[in-house]
Amino acid sequence: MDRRLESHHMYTPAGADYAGSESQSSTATSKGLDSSKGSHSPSKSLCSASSSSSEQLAADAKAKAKAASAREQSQTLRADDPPLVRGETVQIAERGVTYLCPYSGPVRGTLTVTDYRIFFRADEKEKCLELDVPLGVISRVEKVGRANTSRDENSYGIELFCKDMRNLRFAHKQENHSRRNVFAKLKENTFSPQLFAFKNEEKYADNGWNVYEPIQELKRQGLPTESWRITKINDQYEVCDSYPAVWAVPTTATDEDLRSVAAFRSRGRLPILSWIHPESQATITRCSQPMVGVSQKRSREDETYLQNIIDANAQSHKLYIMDARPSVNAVANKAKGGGYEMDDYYENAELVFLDIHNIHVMRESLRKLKEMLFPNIDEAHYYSNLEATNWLEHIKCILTGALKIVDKVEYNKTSVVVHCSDGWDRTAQLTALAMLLLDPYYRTIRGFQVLIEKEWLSFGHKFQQRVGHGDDRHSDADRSPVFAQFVDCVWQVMQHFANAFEFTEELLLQIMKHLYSNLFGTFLCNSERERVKDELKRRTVSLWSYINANVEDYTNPLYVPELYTGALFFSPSLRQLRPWLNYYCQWNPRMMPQEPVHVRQHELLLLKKQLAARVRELQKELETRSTRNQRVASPVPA
Amino acid sequence: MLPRRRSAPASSAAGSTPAPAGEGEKWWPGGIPVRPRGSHYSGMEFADFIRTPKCDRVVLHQPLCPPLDGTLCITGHHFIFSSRQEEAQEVWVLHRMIDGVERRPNGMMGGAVAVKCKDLRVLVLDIYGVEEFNNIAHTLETLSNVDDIRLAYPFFFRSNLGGEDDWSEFSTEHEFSKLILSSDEWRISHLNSDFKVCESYPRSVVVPSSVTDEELIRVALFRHGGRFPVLSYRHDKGSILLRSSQPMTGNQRRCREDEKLINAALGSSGQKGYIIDTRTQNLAMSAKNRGGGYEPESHYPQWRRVHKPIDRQAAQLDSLQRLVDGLSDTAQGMDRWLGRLVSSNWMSHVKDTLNCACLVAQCLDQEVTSVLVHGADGMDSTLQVSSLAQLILNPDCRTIRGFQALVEREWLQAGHPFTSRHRHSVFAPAASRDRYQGVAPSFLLFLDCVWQVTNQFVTSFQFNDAFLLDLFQHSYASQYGTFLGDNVCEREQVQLRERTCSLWSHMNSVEVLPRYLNPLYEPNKRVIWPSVAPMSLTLWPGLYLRWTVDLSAQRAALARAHEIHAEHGQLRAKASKLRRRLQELQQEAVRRDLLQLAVSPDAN
Repeated sequence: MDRRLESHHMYTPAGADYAGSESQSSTATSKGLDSSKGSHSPSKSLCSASSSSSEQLAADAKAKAKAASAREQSQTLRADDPPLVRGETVQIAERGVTYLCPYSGPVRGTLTVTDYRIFFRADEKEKCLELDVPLGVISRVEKVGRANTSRDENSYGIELFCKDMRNLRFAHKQENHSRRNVFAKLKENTFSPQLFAFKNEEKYADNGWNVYEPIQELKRQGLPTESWRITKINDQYEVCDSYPAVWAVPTTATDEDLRSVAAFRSRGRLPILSWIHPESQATITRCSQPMVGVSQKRSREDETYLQNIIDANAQSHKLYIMDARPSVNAVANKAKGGGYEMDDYYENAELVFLDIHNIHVMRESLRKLKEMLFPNIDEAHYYSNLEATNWLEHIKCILTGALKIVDKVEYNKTSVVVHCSDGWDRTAQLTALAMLLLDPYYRTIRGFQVLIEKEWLSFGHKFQQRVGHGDDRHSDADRSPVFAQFVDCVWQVMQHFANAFEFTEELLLQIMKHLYSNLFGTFLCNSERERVKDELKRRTVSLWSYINANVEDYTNPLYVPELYTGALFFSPSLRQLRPWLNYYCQWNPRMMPQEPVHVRQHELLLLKKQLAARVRELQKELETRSTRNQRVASPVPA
Repeated sequence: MLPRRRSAPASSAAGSTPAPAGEGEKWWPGGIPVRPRGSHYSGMEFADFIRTPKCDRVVLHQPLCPPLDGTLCITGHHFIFSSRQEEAQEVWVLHRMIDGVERRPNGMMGGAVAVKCKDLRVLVLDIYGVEEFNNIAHTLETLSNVDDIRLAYPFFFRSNLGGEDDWSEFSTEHEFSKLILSSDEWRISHLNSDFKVCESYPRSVVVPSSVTDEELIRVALFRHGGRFPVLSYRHDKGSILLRSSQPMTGNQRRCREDEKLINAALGSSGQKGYIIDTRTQNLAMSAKNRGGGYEPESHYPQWRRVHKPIDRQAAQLDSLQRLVDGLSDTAQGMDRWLGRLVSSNWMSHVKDTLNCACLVAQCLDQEVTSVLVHGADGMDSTLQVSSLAQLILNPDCRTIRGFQALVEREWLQAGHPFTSRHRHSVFAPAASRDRYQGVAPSFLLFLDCVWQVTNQFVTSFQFNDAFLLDLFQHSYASQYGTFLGDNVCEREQVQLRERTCSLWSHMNSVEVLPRYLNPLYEPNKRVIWPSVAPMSLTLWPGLYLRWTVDLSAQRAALARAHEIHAEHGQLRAKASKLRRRLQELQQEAVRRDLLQLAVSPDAN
């Protein structure tokens, strides 16, 4: 289950990295060198035998990984079979399939399709290429090349388009008709409403479904207070079907008020408490857009309700309404019955537009990013291409929005209401990021899980729709990398504050992997209501069970909670934002770390732990000995 | 006397101003330093220029800090700002650090003086009163443009390190003793001991034993500026790195001694060597018109010539200027940042330089053949390439001492004209550009490349970011003499060794050295191959972003890593101490017959 094992293994040396770029920057030179290599055979052999550190280190790391995978396999099955999780069954295995690796060229091997994954292992041992891809990441399966027409033997096969920044291409031999079966099995198992998460029978000591208890989390925040109460009015998901069962609302608002406010808000998503400041009582509440429409409707109940929120905070008589959208979009929404809060009706509120674009713009931006980063990067135009994707610009926009919320809540002690159109995409990004920056609890491993469970899952971010689990409508306009973008933002914050997070990048990478993998039930369905209906807690395993069973893999050795007890604040300068290459370019062998720093960190932590234990042990022994010595020595005074 | 606290400057000026830790300088009311006895210089009196030595009610605006209200003092070498608050903050800036002074007058109220420093920082002083404003601006302009290095601060600064000041640490004899002892093919030649053969070379250089001093003189006449090929590095596998300046081939001139000299580096392997020219082919061709040129194939049949262009110094300075413009433009154009970064071209200079160094290292390590590197005058890109190649190949250069030796050998001794290059930087007024022809950020570019490699090989370097930053800082302005002067000859003329303190002694002192240590260091004996792909290179935040972006969180991370490292060491020490104590107790117990050794647990 190790990430390194399941990912794309390249045992071909990735060293002498610069040689590739050299061929672009000065062809004359590399030609000169190449010819010399050809003419001097001894130097050539020295070349391949040379022990450049990157090769060596990479080889070390791989040897370790290899040993581990060998161990794993010996426990399970024959060497040629893929490592299976419990409950996984092999659907089809075909020999003689060629994987067209964009980095090391065509590789012949065996392709296995199970109900969870697609697994490929090269025949030639020296190439040692393994491919292990959960079916969930596949968004589209296409046949390429028609029989008997193409001359090139590798043009006939299957191409897979994946959600995790890569495409895979396999070539089949025409004569043994393997393609049809593989294609059918792939389609059948990838695009099936019966997701593998329901078959996963892995067992873990800790049940991850218990990580988030809504009432407990609200209690942690100090609720109920005299101004905020906990209500179960939505217990049957009747008031709002995309909201959680448990809400925290102002005490002054009656259940009747809540129902009428819900009627005025898009899809019944009325303002509900997300977070309350432990000292100032300033709050973050989230909701959807008001149903103002072209006729400029107003709702006295909604206005009173927001006034209740203002009154609940004694420190300030103001409220900021953060509308995540660009103002143009907000206005355009009036035509569809939506809109934004009119200044005239909401006396003490100030409306701020945060200019974050909608899911379609983000999807397009990520598509461009994938196009530029996979499979190979055009080095000459790297920066200009990167700028053209606008991805970092969007990231900056979201971070700036979240920091504005932090600024208002932490430094102005003023409450904030956040919404976009429906309040389940941009709103979730903003509230979750703001809470991450405000509350150190969410920067722990468990707290981060709670944050995701609360702000994303319980408040109805439509994971099913946005990710498209088991769905073959690859160009569905409802798909968008909204959650992935949030994880990217978290990564950017982590780059800034290396000591402030209990977890490392590794946790984010795992979350990203299992967002698509369908191995766990965590990211399935669109809302809490659907999850309850499908009995996910009973029928599937939570991702957090798996994470919390290997928690030391994700622990940040540099975490110093004492240093960051309050809010994190920084200016999200574009100069400091970088593309998250360890995720976006994770399949590119050239982007593999040349020095295994995280391994070393891990070793150091372990060593420190051992030494500390040894010190304790010796101290104890010393104590017992000295007491014994005294005891024995005392009868014989010197 | 000046309002100052002895303890304050070090903290307030950390990382920016070389704080005068040792007080060799005595203070007069007017701030005129007492000249050390026996010093003789061109009769210039700083006092003549300091019209307003002290000025109250000055407001200082520093990047990333709230404005400070306080007193400004100007001395012969510094301007010192001291805040009036309880926690007196002091800011010391050497006049030599000032790159440009911009006056922003404000009618009868006085005005603001923007002091733009060579370390890319901009300080703004709001000064009350027209006369004071003009006086201070004029004084700073004048004192920051003093060219005579004998008037520089190091000549007035006495270190408090006592007898540890050691200028002879990195002598040629010492550095190459291993090589000379192990091989009789190379010898140390003293023919340049009076700097007559080559002004910019040190007294002693390493050359092939088979070439006599007379022949060397003839080679020197054939090479630009007399910079004949000398040994720069001998790789473990036996391959040789030579560096020189361009040959003065001009119109088909030829020099058999030159051919003999560099052929000696090839040994008897019969393998072809590489001449790496850091200019484009066109530039090398056109250099012929001015008497220069390149080694023609016909006369150097054993060598393969490769052009691996690194842009000229003027282009590098322009790039840096555009980069700094882009960085300081915080108001608008934020969204165009990547575009500005690309169009500044700075990262491509970094890439080209690293790329060339990698090629040299590849030839030496993988082809195992000798390499001669040169550009035009062999004082800039040549040195960048030869030193970076050593960093890649030689693990010794990745230690603090080894890196100091590298800078000493390949930059200071090899005659990189630091004073000319660093007389100004990006903020120099365009009008005076012509006056300062030799200005270039070559050394900064080198440090940037080093940082890129350290960033890619986090555990392979003994030093950290702070070490490189301090080298950058001290190379522009310092209380230490190390980076003064253009070459060894000039340094000896002003008796640098005798009259100033060495930066290396300061850096290696027990108080300072720990700041430079990389907690993740794990000696790595292998060759390291940096990646030069654009996504592997990042803008050095510690250098370029420190005045525009708050980097305190990053610094805290490093501090934490240091802590863990120290804790680890302490635990180790404690464990071994306890282990020893346990053994003693055991022995004690055995001696008293309370314990039999056979049953004693293994104390390990």
